[in-house]
Amino acid sequence: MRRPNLLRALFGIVLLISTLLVRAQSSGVDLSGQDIPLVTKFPFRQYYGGVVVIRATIGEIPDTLQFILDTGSAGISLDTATCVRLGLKLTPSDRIVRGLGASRRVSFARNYKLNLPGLTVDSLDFHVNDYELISQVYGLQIDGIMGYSLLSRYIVTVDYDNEEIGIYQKGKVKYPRGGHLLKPSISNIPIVTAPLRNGKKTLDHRYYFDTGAGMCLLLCNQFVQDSSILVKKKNKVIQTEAQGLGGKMAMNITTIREFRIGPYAFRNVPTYLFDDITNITSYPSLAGMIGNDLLRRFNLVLNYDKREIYLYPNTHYRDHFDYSYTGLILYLIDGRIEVTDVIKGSPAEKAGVKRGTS
Amino acid sequence: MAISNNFSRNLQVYRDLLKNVGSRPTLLLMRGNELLIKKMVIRSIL
Repeated sequence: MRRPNLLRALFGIVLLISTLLVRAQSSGVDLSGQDIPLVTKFPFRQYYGGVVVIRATIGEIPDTLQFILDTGSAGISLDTATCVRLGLKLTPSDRIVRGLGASRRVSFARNYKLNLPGLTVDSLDFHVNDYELISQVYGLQIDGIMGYSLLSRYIVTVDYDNEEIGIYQKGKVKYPRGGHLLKPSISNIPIVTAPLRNGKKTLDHRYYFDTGAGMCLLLCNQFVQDSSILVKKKNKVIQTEAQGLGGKMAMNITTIREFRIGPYAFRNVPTYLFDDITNITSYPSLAGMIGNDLLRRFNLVLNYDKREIYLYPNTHYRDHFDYSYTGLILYLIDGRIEVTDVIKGSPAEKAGVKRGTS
Repeated sequence: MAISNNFSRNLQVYRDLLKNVGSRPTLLLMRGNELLIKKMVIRSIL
């Protein structure tokens, strides 16, 4: 009779120790006191799916602009309307930019300076894209996206606990204890290998490490079909909508039993399934993307120069996933919140909500 | 638009109000010049 009580007590102690360990690791990111000089630290704000928004200016123009920090961006970009408003000189190009649901030829705003708090980055070529829809989804003006062009020049820390970005000169880093070092391949966008478990299957595959995606996990449908990873009777698959470069995209959402990043396992992970019509995953090379609703649970050190990403659990590590489903798609348009779509057969449709309502 | 008597221009506020699985929030909506009240159940993807 005493054994179950002992086991329960032991389990309780183990749980307490593991909780304390995770709490002990959640005091932000600080690489000070090392050989790498700190360039600057500045605050950021988080929006839908934990997406990181940074304030900056361009050139000598005083207007404050809002950028998403996006490891899934292979460069740096500005919104078309913002370029027009600021009177930036645009140069047409033959360069094609590929994103979720669309690929398009882009112009460039060449050789401009980006002014972050405490740091000016010069000689940047911004490709120009339309971010009106993204602005409506997040409910704030998005003027641009910062990716590889900035991240490859420095060591960048993202502290989700204190909502603070740190920028350091390149050099040898001694990472804080208690985290995990990923060794991604980086060809403009980091790619990591991670195991995914569903039903009786476990599959190792490669994923973009994408802080610009406001969801946990995205899998391309080709991978889902070829791997037969979904279990028909167990996986509920529900129609929904998401936004990519090409605008609104019909997607499905389901949950995956377990997904691991390094030693960190997440169970019942909300997962979007999408048709990769622009072949951004180059499937079978990649299965999809790990998004910021998972990555925001870690404080990050992005060290592209050494092809290293260090992550350690922060205070959001045990945040509950969002499993809710209404089928109600809300955007902020001209300062008003509007129902832009109602998914067929969803609770919103059954309640009689119609698109165009505000 | 209002959700459960909360009026906001902050999308995140509404998204947070629509996260509580199993609840039935009241939506106050405007279609044209007409005000509507709808009750919608929040389902789970699990």
